[in-house]
Amino acid sequence: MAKRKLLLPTLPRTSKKKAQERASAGYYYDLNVPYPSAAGSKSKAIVSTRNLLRRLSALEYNTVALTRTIYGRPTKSFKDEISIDDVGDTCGLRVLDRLDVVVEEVADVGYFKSITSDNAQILNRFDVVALVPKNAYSFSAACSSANASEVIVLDTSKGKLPYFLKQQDLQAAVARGASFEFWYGAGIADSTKRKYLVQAAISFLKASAGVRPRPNIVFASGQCGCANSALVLRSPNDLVNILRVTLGFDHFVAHSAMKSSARLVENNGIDRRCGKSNDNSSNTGLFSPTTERTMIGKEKLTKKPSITNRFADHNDLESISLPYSREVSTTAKVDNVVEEMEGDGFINL
Amino acid sequence: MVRRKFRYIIAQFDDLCCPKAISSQLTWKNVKKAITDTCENNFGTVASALLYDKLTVKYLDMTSEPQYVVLKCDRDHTDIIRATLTFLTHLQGKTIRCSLRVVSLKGSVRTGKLAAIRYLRNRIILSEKECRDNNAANEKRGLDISEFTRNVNNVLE
Repeated sequence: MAKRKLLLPTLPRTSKKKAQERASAGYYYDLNVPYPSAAGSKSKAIVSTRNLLRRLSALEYNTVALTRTIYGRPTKSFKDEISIDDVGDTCGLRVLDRLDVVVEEVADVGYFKSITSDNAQILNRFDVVALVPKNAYSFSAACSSANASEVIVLDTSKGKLPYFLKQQDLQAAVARGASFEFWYGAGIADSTKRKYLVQAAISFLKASAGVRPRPNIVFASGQCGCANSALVLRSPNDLVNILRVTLGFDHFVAHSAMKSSARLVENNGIDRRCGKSNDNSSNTGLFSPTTERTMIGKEKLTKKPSITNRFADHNDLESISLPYSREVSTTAKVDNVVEEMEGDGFINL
Repeated sequence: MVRRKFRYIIAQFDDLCCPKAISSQLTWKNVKKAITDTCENNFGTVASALLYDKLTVKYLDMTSEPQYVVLKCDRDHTDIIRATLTFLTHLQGKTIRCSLRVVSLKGSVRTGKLAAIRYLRNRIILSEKECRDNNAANEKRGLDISEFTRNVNNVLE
């Protein structure tokens, strides 16, 4: 019996050289750069923020998210110390606004269940909203129900992870389109924190072994606990090596942790602000082996449609889904997505 | 005959927190000791023993700004050394704070030299641009490329 070939949608072919050039011209993100502490003086904070941005642009980053950290749920009287407008010159970087919320109680996580009239005014000011859970209950609540946040942080900057990572929680987080984040700043500064970072990464790898589609991982500098946070910043290529060698991540995951995965987080933030849901249940998963298997299985059981009709919906480039996670956001530029997928060597059609 | 494969790493000191009088006196022994100590702290005694003979400091320039170093290592241990350079935070014990960044990684002497020359040229262009932008009468701290190529020829061959 002749083998039937799966017809996948065709993409414009590019030469290998162009694909390599695109891959090497990376578009790097650092999604967590804390605002330096002002200690009462706004001008000093602005100067130290400018130094940080200068250092990041020298290290070949392109997009940076300046982070503000709060504890518990944000109140309406939430006031900013300094903002991006005060900083002024960003040294050619794209600067995003990010909010980190340290949550200990499940009731605080409930504030982020969805965008409502109560929290829209505060949350929609930020490009990225992240939750930093401090115990097992807040972690499982953040994974399953915090639809108004894009990132869940596995914080090892102050000590060991205070909870165990479970496959059900990771699956729930992936289903709603959340990403997981590790901070390397404290690991560079202190050897004990480095140990905690490696422990967290290994437990994450073990817990995510059976999770499909695979969780989105982001690597950022984060809080380092030292006075001069510019000293712990490292270049993206060195961090890719750290992710592969020391933390044990896959080659593809390591390369995308500061590029396409971070871009996905930004797109999720855009969707949140535009009012679109983060539900991943409609992921077509063109490149997911599970989906391919079920499609092949269904083809055998049911009346076979013609091969061209089966992929009629996917001939349109906009409906192609990214590997490992949710569908392409309609707000994202398709050309850039296609370029990235080709540049990372993922598509060889 | 199986050929031994090497890698030439060009690394730049991004932040060297000490006066220039002290940093200009640092030698290749200080740098190598810092790398092996950091490797031992992070990857254990076995990994640092593997680097003992395999890692050599081919060229060190602590007088220009920013300072840079050229290392030679085995191809098999490149990942460990690169990770060690990322984790390196101090020189001379805990006295001098620093951070290193790997600028390029090349597989032969010839390509290593070309990469080093390209790196220096870019630095000179950047420093010229900075001087022009700031309208300052700073002295050019870049190197004379012809002098550098002569030094590199002597050292790497």
